[in-house]
Formats: sequence, structure tokens, C-alpha cells
Amino acid sequence: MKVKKEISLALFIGLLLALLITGGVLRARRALQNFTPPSLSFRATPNPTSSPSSLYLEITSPDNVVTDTSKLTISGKTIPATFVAILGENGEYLIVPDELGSFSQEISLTKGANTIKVTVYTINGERVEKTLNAVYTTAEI
Amino acid sequence: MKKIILTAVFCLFLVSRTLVSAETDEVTDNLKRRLQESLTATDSGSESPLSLRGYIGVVKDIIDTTIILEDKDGKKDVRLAEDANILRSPGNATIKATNINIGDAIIAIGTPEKDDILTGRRLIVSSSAFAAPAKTSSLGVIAKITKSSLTLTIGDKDQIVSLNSKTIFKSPAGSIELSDLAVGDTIIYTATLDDDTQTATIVMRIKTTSSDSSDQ
Repeated sequence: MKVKKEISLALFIGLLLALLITGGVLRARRALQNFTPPSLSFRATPNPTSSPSSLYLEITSPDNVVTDTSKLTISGKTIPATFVAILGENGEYLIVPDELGSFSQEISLTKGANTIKVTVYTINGERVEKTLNAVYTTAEI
Repeated sequence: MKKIILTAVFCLFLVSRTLVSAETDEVTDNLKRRLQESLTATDSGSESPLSLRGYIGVVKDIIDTTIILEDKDGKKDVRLAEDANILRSPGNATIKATNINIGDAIIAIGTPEKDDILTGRRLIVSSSAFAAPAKTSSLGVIAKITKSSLTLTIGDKDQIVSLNSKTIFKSPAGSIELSDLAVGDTIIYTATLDDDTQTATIVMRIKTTSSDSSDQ
């Protein structure tokens, strides 16, 4: 009788523990899904001796891409406090990169060949330019 | 007491295994689904656009079934696939590889292989160039403002940029009006080109003379 009681008690404790752990795991998973890391922002101290030649333009979107949709996102990175001009076949865009120098812009494509010119300007007029190609087709290939 | 602890641990082990097993099943199901999707795409005989590349250039040479084209980055080899679809624009008439001419503008779509060679699956050729858009962008300082144009100092040259009802005026902070611009302001603009005439599509003021500071 005593053994039966002990087993029942053990089962109850075990289940209680399992329930607690399961609840914890589920809560943690849900919390991680909704977790967005805090955005890092910092203000760089202006360096009067910094060289203007440090201007660069890095396009992270793939070149020579083939797409079956009329929209394409152009993303890239440059130095902060610059301005980016994007000239597409189907529109023009003037945007300001974020405080880390990153930028992203969805552009419209025309069917067939698309030449996209991306130019970054500093306030002093220095510029760096890159060209991307993209093909927009709905044909089955 | 020992029995209680042992039984509790055993129960815990069983529940943990059930949990892990459920997660593993979920992952396996996801993998199976993705594999199925991938196989379905292959079965339909079409390539995913992600795996395709498209070169835009001019035909420089044709050697057997290999077309050498030159694009903005230099020369590229395109080896024609056996079932390559070759079209001549305008009209999109299907043509044979022998009808491709040196000097034709070409869009070559295919799958990239080793050594930067593209296996061409769909090629569109044209005797006239696939022209890049007649557009420009520049940065300048406003020297003169009228209702229909801005005269800008760009480097040591003056450039007149026409304005029309579609021209958008903005600053990094938001929309502005033409009347907000002043002589001495620094702007960046995009414009369409028609011969030597530039017509502004977007004008962004980036520095004002009034505060002599950046608009950012």
C-alpha cells in the first residue's frame, strides 16, 4: 500500500516537473521568436583629419540577376552622411543611407534588359558610381 | 525516497524524449516539404529565377556553339544549351544560332557554370542596342532660380536643369517646394536627358545657405 502511494507520488512529482519544464521551454521559444535585438546606434565623433578618399560604394544586391517580378530591391553600403541616387529604366530614386551607411530601395523594372546606375555623393561633391544589370522576364526558362 | 526520485527522473526522461521527438518530426517534415517543392520545380522543367543569370551585352565572336559577348564588366562566354531558345527582337521570332551576328545586342539568360561560363538557355538578340536609360544625376550649387529651371554650378561649369510639373522637390527630412530653394543651396538631382537638355525628376536639397548647414 505504501509502495503504491510512493509510486503515485513519484508520478505526480515527475509530471509536475515535466509540466514546469515544458512550460518553461515553450515560454522561452515564444520569447525568442518575438525577440528583436536592440538596434545599435552610435554617433561617431567627426574626425577633421579623415580622408575624403574613404568614400566607397558596396552593392550587396546580386548583379546580372534574372527575375520574374517587376520589383527589385537594391541594397548597399557606403559611408554615413552621404546621398544615393539610383537611376533605373523605370524610375529614379534619391535616398539617404542610415547612420551606419546602409541603404535599400525597391525599384521598378521594365521587361527585358535593365541597367541600374547607383551613385553615392558626399556633401562636398565627391562621388562613386556602380552599375548593375538585371533581366526581368516572365518567360519559362 | 530513493524510489520516488528514480521514478520522477524516469518520468522526466520520458516527457523530454516526447518533446525532442516532436521537434525532430517538425524539422523532418519541413525538410521533406522543401525537398518536394524543389523536386516539383525541377519536374516542371523550369529553372528557379534565383539560379539563373542574365548577361546584357554585345556579341563579339561566335565559335561553334559558344558566343563571346562583352558586357559592362568585360568578355563573357555563353555556351548554347542543346534546347536553347534564341529570339530576334523586335518581333521575338525564333532564329538559329547561325543567324546571330557579331555586333548584335544580346541578352543571354542561363545557368552559370565553372570558369564564369554561362550555359545559355534563352537568348534575345537585336541589331539595335539595348540602350541604357538616358538619365543622369549630379550635385550642384544653385546659381539662379526661375519657375521653369535651375541654373547650377557644378564644379567650374554652369548647368541649366529644366523643371516641370512632375519634378519632385525634397530634403532628407521630407517634401519641400520650389519656393523653399534659394540661391547658394546645394542640391542633388536626377534628370532625364534629351540631347543636351536635362529635365529634373527629383531635386533634393542637401545644404541650405540660410543656416549654412547640412539638411541632414
